[in-house]
Amino acid sequence: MDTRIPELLRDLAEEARPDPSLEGRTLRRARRRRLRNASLGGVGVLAAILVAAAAARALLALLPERRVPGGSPSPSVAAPVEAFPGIYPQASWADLQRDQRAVDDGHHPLWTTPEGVAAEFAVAVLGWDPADVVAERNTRQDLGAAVVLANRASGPPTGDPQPAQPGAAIVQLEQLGRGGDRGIWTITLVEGGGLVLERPHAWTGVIPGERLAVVGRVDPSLGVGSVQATIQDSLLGGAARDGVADPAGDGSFRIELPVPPSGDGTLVLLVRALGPDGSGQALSATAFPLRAGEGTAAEARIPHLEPQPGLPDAVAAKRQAIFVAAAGGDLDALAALADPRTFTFSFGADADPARSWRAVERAGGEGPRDVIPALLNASYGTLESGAGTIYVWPSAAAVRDPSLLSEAQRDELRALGYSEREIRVVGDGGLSGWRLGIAEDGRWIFFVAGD
Amino acid sequence: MVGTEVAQETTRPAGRMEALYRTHAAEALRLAYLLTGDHHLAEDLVQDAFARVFGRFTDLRDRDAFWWYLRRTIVNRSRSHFRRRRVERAWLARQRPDPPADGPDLGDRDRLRRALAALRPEQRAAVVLRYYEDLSEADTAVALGVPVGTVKSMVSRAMARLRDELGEG
Repeated sequence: MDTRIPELLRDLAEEARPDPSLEGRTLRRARRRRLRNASLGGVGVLAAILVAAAAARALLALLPERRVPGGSPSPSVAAPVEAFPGIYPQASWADLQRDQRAVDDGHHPLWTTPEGVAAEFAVAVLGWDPADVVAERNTRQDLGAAVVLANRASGPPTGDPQPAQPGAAIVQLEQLGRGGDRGIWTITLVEGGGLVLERPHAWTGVIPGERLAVVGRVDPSLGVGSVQATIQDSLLGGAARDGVADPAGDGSFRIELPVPPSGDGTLVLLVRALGPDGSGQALSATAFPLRAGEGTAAEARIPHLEPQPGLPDAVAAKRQAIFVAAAGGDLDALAALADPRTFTFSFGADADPARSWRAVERAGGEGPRDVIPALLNASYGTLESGAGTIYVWPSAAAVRDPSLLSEAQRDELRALGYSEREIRVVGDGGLSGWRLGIAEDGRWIFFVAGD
Repeated sequence: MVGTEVAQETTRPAGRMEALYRTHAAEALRLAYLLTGDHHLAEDLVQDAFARVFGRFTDLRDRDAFWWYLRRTIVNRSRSHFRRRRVERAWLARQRPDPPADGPDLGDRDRLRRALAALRPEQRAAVVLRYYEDLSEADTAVALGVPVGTVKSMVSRAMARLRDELGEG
């Protein structure tokens, strides 16, 4: 073959250099997917839930009984009018109802045991390998359940078995809906071994937009390289703000970070002590809910569509109808609002949007009810097409040059859960997150992400 | 072209995942970059492909099979990406200017980049698998899920365009 093309292809390919941070992100995502697949298939449960190490058992004996601040006095009764006290794997009462239905259908067997939920948390949030997770329930607990997590990869704890032992975290769980063998357990609090927070405390009131100081200390014997604090709408996604600090010689640290907007009146603070190896695996972690905007939680929990001036009547009406169907979780009604000849949606191979969205939600993915209410409350922009003007949410989807993105638009994208990298590539067709488009005649023509 | 040595063989699943990632990540990224022409998109595709293949594979010890499935996943994801994007673009009829056809000439590599970008995604995938991954026509056909005859025709037309662009015609 007399051509230079193969050689030129190799030259061109050499332009691609892996970003070092890609490895950690990819492996964390892969672990989550492996665990989810194992859970859906009903296998791998035993691999994830292992008998606790001897030191963890010793640790159990020292556990005080706890009541979760703001939690329900009964583990099996919780009124849906209260702020949702859970942080994982559900973030709202709607999540709990949806997930309970999934469990009833035979999915997520891990979620019917406290150890299973805690083990999944260790993998999905702490970045531990499933084979390294040691989870044991404290049977003395009479309110909900407490599970001690330890990481085999960190080696067995030695010495005095205090909660400050390396690799240990105490996970508090409750059955916030149904009780019994088929009821879902939800994490309400995680207290990291060797990681003491002076402030804030669980259910501290915080104001979105203001800065919050996270002050604490890590046990120097943990060998912590850095401490990362994240305030987020939910451990399952949504708006998040990060801050990182290297602990001082005595283990103390202070991290200041802005408080993101809250979708339902609560936020979650996650503080992770990371090793110096950059693996992304947490040596220890603390997580609990914060109350966002004291006194506003109740009204904030009710999805509300803000009027937006300038929209044609047909677009405004379709926006309202889409919002109502999405917020109510009525996927059939939502699909019926789409223009059947032209509607483009992500993801799934099924041509029926409602079926496809259900499949995504069953698999634990982001569905319309998670995305659309916030999306339609974002600012809108317009695009001109052969079919006329298209109204798109968020407005950044209409920006073709990243340098033209306003600071307000950047903030809006952050609130919608975009990473800084994703924001940098906005424009020139690069907006990779969810966006929704309605034609000027009221046809809903796309609800897509990722391309 | 693919590294055949894993720096540190381990027996733990986590160790195997890390070893497989380190063995194949750079190559996967290069392949995704050739298929998309976009570094950020290539990273996203690679991340997604690794997560999917790790998620599906119960036995991570078969490295040859792993690369085969990883490569196929990257190709499929890139094709579906362009398929969805085409549909959306058709609706939005975005007026995004194409790369300047007569911009500054940076040499053959730049000309190849432009010519690749002008190919249809499936043609681009066929050429990259055939002449970068060095697959046979039969293996390329399997990777793309099309008949061998289709591969021959796609590659032939695409190579003619590339040669023309590079002045090899």
